[in-house]
Amino acid sequence: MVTDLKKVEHRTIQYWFEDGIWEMAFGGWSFLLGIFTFGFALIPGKPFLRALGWVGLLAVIIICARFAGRAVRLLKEKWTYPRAGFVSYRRPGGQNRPRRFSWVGGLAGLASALVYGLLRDSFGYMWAQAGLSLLMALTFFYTAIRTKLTRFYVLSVFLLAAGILVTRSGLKALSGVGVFCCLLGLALCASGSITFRQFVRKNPVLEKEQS
Amino acid sequence: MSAEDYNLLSIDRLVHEPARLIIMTMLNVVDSADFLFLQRETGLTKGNLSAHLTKLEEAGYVAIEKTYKGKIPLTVCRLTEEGRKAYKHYRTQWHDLMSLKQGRRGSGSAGCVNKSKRENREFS
Repeated sequence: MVTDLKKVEHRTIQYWFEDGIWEMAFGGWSFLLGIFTFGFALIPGKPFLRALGWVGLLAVIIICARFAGRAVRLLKEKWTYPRAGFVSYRRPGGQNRPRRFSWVGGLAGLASALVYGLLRDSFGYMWAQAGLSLLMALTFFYTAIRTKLTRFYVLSVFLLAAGILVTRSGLKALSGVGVFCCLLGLALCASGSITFRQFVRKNPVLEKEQS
Repeated sequence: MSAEDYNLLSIDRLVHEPARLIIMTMLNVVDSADFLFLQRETGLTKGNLSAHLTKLEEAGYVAIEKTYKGKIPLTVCRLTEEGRKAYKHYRTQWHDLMSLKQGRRGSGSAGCVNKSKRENREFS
């Protein structure tokens, strides 16, 4: 029996990421977003088409994010909960709030700078891609610290490396962001599917009824 | 009897028992968890886990809801507000007690301090 309470807490938080479903959903969403962004970069510079493209991009982000959340819940109900049990997480508050706000504030600042740079193209081409990769690498690094899962450290290093490669490749801002999003999606899908396979093998469905 | 002994006596024994402490630690992190999850994570037998949960429910620390998911019974447990307070209080008390113990041992040999630090790390 485990006696280290910090370990118990970490294991309980890790449970959400144990099956890899979240990664696959987020990866799929990123990949779709990447393809859309890359396609958007190819649209000729007519104002109406550009505006339509931006609206479409926003719609893809919002709709896919909503569907991804629902898909994660459904897949977890079908695959995870019958195997390893049901858990519902509560929103962190209290002592963690200032730290969370500083992280979220920092990330929101970076995201805003990135969007501003993309709209005005004032950062030059390379900064949009570098900013996005840094933002994603930081997000995954934070997730790794929170969950103590090694694969998230690996993902954060991979994302930073991919960001540097895409930045140095000389692609234009939007094309570069599209390629980076596709790479992020593929990496997450690969990591998620490996984790999911291991999870399913390790946890067969229990036929017996619960107590 | 020393101040340290008084602190030890005032510790909530219902929470202090290792299996119940682990159950409460898990439930403190989440909103709710089912029986299967708790059993898998604690490594307790069904009967043992059920007995501990009943004790915590009787004390008002845990709320247990029995529902059905299709044809399979689902037992969902959550920590009540009283349970969260009791758990928080226990952790604070334990931390204080260990700090006091460390302080006392600090005046003694370094080996004792290291041992005490180890104990504190395991439980805090």
